[in-house]
Amino acid sequence: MRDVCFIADVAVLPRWIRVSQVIDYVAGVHPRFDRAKAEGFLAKTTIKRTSKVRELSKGMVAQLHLALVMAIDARLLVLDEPTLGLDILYRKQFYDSLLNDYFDRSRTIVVTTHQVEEVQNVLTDLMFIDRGRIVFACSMDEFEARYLEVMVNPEQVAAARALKPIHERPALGRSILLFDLMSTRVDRQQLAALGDVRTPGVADLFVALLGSKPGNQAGAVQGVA
Amino acid sequence: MNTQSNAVPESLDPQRVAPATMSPTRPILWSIKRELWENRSIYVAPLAVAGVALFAFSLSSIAGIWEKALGLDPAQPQAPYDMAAGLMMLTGIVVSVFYCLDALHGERRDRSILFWKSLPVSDVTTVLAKASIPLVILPLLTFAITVAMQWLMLLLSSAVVLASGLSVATLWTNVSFLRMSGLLLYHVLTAHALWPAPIYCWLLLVSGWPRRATFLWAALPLVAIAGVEQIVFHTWHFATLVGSRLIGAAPTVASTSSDMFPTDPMIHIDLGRFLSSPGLWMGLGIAAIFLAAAVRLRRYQGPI
Repeated sequence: MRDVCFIADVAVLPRWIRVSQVIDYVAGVHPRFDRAKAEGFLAKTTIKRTSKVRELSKGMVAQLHLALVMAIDARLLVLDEPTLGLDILYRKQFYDSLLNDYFDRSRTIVVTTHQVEEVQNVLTDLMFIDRGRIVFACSMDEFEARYLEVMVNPEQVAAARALKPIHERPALGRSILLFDLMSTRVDRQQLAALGDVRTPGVADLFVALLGSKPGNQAGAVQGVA
Repeated sequence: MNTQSNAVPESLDPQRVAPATMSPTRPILWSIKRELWENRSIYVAPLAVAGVALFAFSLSSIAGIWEKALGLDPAQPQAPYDMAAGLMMLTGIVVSVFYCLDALHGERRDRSILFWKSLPVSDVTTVLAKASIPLVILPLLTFAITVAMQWLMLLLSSAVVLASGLSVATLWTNVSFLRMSGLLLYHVLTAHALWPAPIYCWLLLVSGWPRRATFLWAALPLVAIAGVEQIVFHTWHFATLVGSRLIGAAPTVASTSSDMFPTDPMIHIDLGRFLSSPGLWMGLGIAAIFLAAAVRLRRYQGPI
C-alpha cells in the first residue's frame, strides 16, 4: 500500500487548513512525500503559503492538491473523477501538469472518469466499466487500429450501411458511421472511398458499445507499467 | 519493514530506495496537531474564559466588592481559587461535548474526509487522535490554564493587599498552591478524563453516524431511556448516572461528603478506591466499545 496513492476529488481539501499546514501535515504522515518537490510545484503557482484553503479558488485548490499528490513518490496513482467540478481551463492544466511533471514511464496512473474526451490524448490503455463489470478493454494503439469513423454523404449512406457499421449518428446533413475493422473485415481504403475517415472519439465508441443500456459508467484507464 | 529487502529490482534510481519508514507515533501526533488546527476553540475557549474570569476577579478584588476574593477569609482561603478552577472545569466539559459532537461529522460535512482518507493514516489512528482531545488534551490544558490563572490571581491579590498596606504573609500561607495544583491534576485526569470517557466516546460515535443534527441523535436515546425508566420504574437512575459521569462526580477521594471541592486541603486522595470501583472499568469498557464502533463506522462513511 505504500506505493499506492488514491485521490477521490482534487477539488476537495479541508477548507479551514492553511497551505503551510497542509504541507506540514502530509510531510508528517506520508513516508514518501517529498517536501521540496511540493514547494517547487507551488512556487510556480500564485498560491500563497499563508492562505487558507477557503480563500483559494477552485482551480487553485486543485493545483495545491496536485502539488501534494505529485510530490508523493507512488508507483500507482489512482484518480477517481479527478476533474469533476473544475472548469475547462483547469481541467486541461491539470492533465498537462500531471503528464509533464509527474509521469515518468515507471509510474502507473489510473483515471476513472465520465469526461472521456479530455483524457483521450493522454491514455495508453482504455477500459469501459458497466455497473462494476469490465465490458471493454484494449490499448489505445489497438483502439486506433481497430475503430474508424467515416463521415458519409446521404447518397452513399446505403452503401456504407451495407458494410455493417456498429453505430450510426447524424451530423449536419451527413451521417457518421463507426466501423469495427476487426469484426466487419472492411479496410481503410474501402471506407475512404465513402467519405472522410478519422479515428473516433472514445466517447463515441462508448456510446456505440453501451448506449442502449441505461446507467453506464465510463472508466478510462491509463496504465504504463 | 525493511526497504532494502523489498526494493524493486529494476529501480536503480537511488531516490527510489529512500527509506519509507517512519515512527508509528508520528501519524497520531500529527493527527492530534491537525485537530488543534481545526478546532481552535479547544484552547481559545478556556483561555477566553480564564481571561474574563481574571478580569472579573481583579475588578472585584480591587473594588473590594467580594472580600473573599482576596483569599483573606481564614475560614475559606481557597474560595476564589476553587471558583476559578470550577469555572475552568465546566468550560472543559462544554468544549469537550461540542468538540465530540462535531469530530466525525465535520469532516463528512465538508467532504474533507476524502482527503484525510487518501493519506496513509488509518481509521484507528484518526479516531484515537480525536478521542484523545477530550480524554487527554483538554484535561491537561484545563489544568495548565487553571494553574496559570490561579498564580495570576495570587499576584493580583498580593498587589491589592500590599497597596492597602497589609502584609501578604497570610495570603501566601493560607493556601498551599503546590498541593492544590497536585489535587487539581489528579482530579482532572481521573474525574474529567477517565470517568466521563464513556460519555465522550458515545458522542464521538454518534458524530460519525447521522447526516445532520448530531446533538439530537446523541441526546434522544439518553432521554428516551431515562423517560422509559421513569414511566416504568418511577426512578431516575439512568439520568443520574449519565449526569454524574459528565460533571465528574467520580469516587476519587476517600471523603464521602460530596460537597467538598476536589482541591479542598482537607480532602484525601484515594486512588485505590477509584481504580477498584467497578464503575470505572465498566465505563472504560463501554468507551472502548464505542470507539471500536466509531472506527468501523468511519471505514464505511463517505462525505454527506
